[in-house]
Amino acid sequence: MRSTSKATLGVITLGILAGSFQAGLATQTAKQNLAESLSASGQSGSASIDTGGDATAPESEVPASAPAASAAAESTTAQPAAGQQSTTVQPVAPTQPTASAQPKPTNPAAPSNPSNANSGTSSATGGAIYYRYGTIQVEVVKTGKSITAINLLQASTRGREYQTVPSILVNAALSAQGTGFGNVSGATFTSEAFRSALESALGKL
Amino acid sequence: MEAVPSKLPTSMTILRNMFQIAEATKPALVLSKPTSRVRLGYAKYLKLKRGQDLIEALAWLSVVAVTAMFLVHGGLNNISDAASALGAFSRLSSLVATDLLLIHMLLVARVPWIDKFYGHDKSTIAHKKLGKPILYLVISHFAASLTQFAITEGKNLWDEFLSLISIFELLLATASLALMILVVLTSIKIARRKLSYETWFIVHLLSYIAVGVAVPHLFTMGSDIAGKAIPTIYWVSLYAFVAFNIVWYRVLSPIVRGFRHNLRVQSVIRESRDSVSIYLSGTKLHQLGGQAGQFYMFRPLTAQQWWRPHPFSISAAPNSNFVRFTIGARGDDTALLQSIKPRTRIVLEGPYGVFTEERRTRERVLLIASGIGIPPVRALAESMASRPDDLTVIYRVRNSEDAALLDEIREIARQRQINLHVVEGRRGSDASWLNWDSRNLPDQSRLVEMAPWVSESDVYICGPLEWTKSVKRSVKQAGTPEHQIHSEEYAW
Repeated sequence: MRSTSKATLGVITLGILAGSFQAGLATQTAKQNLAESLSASGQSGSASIDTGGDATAPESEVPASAPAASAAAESTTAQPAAGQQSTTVQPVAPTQPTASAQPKPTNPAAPSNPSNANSGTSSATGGAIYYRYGTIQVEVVKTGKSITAINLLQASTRGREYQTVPSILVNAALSAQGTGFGNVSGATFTSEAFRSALESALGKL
Repeated sequence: MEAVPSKLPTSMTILRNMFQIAEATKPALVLSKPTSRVRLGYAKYLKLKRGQDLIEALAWLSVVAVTAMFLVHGGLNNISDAASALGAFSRLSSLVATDLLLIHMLLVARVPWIDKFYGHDKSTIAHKKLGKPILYLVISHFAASLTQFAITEGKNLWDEFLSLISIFELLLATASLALMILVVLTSIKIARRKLSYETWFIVHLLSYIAVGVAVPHLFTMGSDIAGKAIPTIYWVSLYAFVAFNIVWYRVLSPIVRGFRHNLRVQSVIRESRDSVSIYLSGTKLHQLGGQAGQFYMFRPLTAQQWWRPHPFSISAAPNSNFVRFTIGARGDDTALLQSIKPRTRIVLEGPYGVFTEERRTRERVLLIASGIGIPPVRALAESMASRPDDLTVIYRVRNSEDAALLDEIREIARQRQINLHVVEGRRGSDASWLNWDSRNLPDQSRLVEMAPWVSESDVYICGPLEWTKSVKRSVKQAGTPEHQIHSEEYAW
């Protein structure tokens, strides 16, 4: 290749790569902003949700399973054989910033109890997301600004070796406090479906 | 009694003489009309360079495109620890490797639009150069993702490996990696010298399987492809494009053309002690589309040889009566071809190569050939546009009594007023490409003596690799710019 062509191509390449890196950052920031604004609207709405359990979940087909804390334990201890479910985000035990701030914190072990309508706590069930390996539907519980629990109402995955993927995603979403978490490598479809399910639930708060 | 040790050679000579009697006599030399117009000048070279730059830029940009898609999807955003860094590295290396792998395959698909700009030999050389880097990238993808999963799941590498290959797609991908390693190992120089062409070829065919079985894990679990619209479209079209080019140009097109032209051996004429001309007849020969100086992959449809085509240059300018190859006995197959039977069906793949008038930029042309390198030079001498004295031919032979096509070259030179220099006899010195000369002049001076305008000529060189290199040196020393020197090697 002639040197002028090479130089031109080099400049173009740098431009494209820099541009796409920026775009990547921007998408992530946008996702985070969306999550933040969702949680902000969740809080402003919490006043009206305060008294009644209007946004509570209907009785779920699947018993509200795997609360965050136990899910975290599951993902680190009870890994089945296949290595698909390793994450791009570390499964971090969910922080519960509300536990001390709120006088009556939502216990993550029983977050979907409709009678547990404390001030500042609200929950909502998102739509069922159908994807190539089944259905994912979540219920999200918020105390103040923070997401304190995400319950898997329906979470079918590709197969036995993918069973822990949803709980890993729950942890990831709790750490990210929204949808701004990375995909679980090897479980892209499940990750995307879970993200949509969470978005849907957050949107209903 | 003395006859006993020489019994074998004697009987072979008898056999050969019998063949000579059996062989058809040489047809009268009928020259086809030379090119009447040819575009010359530096602008022609610039145009070629522009085309090459465009192709190289496209190849480069395809790598940039996959990297850009990786970045847009936040490939580098979530790096927080060793595992996520390894994950990003693994993803990027796999994307770049796959993209290069597809380019790598395209380079040997004998695609006309690549061949036209680079020639078969240059694209094969580029193919060889790409092989190892791609393997390194694939291995680092494998190692990085294995380590990443092992870290995040807290297993040792072996357990992690076992759990990964329990997933069918990843088992296939691992098999693909193993095949790739095998293909590269059998292709490195040391192994190539020890292996027969056949073994190497069969192992090399496995590389298509290797590429194929790696595809599923890319589309079902590739973090940067699966479930993402634009990358999926990009990769599917890239795979489809490469597959189309390979299937059409390497497989289907030769078969279709084989049937259309129905080529058969018409006659076999002995040219020298160890070379013959094979005349092919067929239908619609004018549609074969070759140019003087180009070569075809020559595939005789016989039980022994149908799967082993060999590259041969046509030794007469394309015409509508016959296609002719002149073949020296240099190995097992070429020895067999010396006695190929008339009526044998032949499939030709091609034409390939850029050792043609397309590359000519100057009025004067110097053609240099050694031994069985003469066929393309003979065809070019017949067909190149020239006024008297424009063309000079230097033909290096061991023995002018027994040199292939020498009589023809002499006749062409006489009819077309070409300056012909037949350089006969043993080499002057080990480094010399000319014969011994009592004046003991350097090759360069003797070259300028034979071709005074060498520095402003296009120089076409065809002969053994080392000899060609040595000629090139002299030609450059005589002041010919690099872009006016043309040579091709039979790379495989």
